[in-house]
Amino acid sequence: MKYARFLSDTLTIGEKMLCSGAEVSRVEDSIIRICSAYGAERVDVFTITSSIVVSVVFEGKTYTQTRRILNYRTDFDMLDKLNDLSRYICKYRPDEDYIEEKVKTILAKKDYPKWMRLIFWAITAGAFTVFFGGVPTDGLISAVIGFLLMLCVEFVEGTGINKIFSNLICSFFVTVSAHLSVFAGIGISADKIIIGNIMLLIPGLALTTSLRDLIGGDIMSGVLRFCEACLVAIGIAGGYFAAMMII
Amino acid sequence: MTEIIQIITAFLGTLGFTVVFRSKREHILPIALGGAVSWVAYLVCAQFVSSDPICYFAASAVVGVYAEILARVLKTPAINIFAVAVLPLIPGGALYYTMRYAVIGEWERFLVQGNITLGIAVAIALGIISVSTVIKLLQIPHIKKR
Repeated sequence: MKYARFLSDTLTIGEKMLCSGAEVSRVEDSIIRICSAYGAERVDVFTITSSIVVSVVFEGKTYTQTRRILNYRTDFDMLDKLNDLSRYICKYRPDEDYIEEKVKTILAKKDYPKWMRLIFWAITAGAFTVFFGGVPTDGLISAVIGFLLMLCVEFVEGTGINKIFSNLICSFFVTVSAHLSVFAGIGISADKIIIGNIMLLIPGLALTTSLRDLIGGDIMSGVLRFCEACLVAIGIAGGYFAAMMII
Repeated sequence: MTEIIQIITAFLGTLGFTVVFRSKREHILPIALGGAVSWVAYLVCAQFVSSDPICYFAASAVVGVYAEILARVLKTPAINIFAVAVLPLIPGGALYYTMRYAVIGEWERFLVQGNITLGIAVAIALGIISVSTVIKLLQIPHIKKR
């Protein structure tokens, strides 16, 4: 067995799990389990939100590899599949070829079609506007803005600019369109319309996850995620501020 | 009536988020139901307890239990379900008003609102942490047996 290649495949699984939204502890746990299943004498994994470092001892020889994680893209379907795969690997110990092929098929899996995602972004924005006390008309406007917001997010992310700035642009877009709808006399409360759409932008998820990491003992990851959530929040506030200055 | 609308929209909002976060197709409905469960839990708790963070703590723990049970039924990591089903509890409104007060320069109200937001976030995190800790404790004898 080629241990270097095996370790690289294992790291790919860990890396993709982290990217698609797994907790740090789950990633570390999966890597340790997989390596141990193949008879590693010692496994040391260190994972933070932006990198994974693994040192494994196989037959008296140490193998060390690292991965740098740059992009996150929440994909719970992929996480689910990778989790199944890592369980399968631990149980049946297939060879590297099998693992590589399986990983490849998982990574190539199809996303939801675009029209479907557009509709569901709209539903989310509309529903949360009403949830936070908006009237049905506001909900409808919010849904339309949510629909456009996804196009905006996709366009901005496609340009590859940093997260703070992309959130700034998106929040600017939301604030301006919400206020425009109120000026046009269709919308009633710009606040509620913005809240519904901002639910799609704020990583309220990241904030809660970071606190989970912190309380759960992964202090490094917790702090990193907390800082990231704060920076994104600042980006959103910046976009909101810029829009309010114009209006 | 407001409560019923909130529960329905919590369901719909969570439903939308399942696609935003690319949940598995078969998990969409159970997760969306979890979103409704989380808000029902909050509303029930709010009937008896006046402290808001405690209600969020309880609701988060309820979703945590719901997610852990469902995770075993659907054979998937619990975070897949919890992370989405908890979203109606995320203080989007409070966060927005915190930001608004900062932007218009009302620092006193900013501090008050910021405190509320942070309190809710910590309560949610503590809720899920308590559930996962209890579950880990329950699993220890099971591992030792092997």
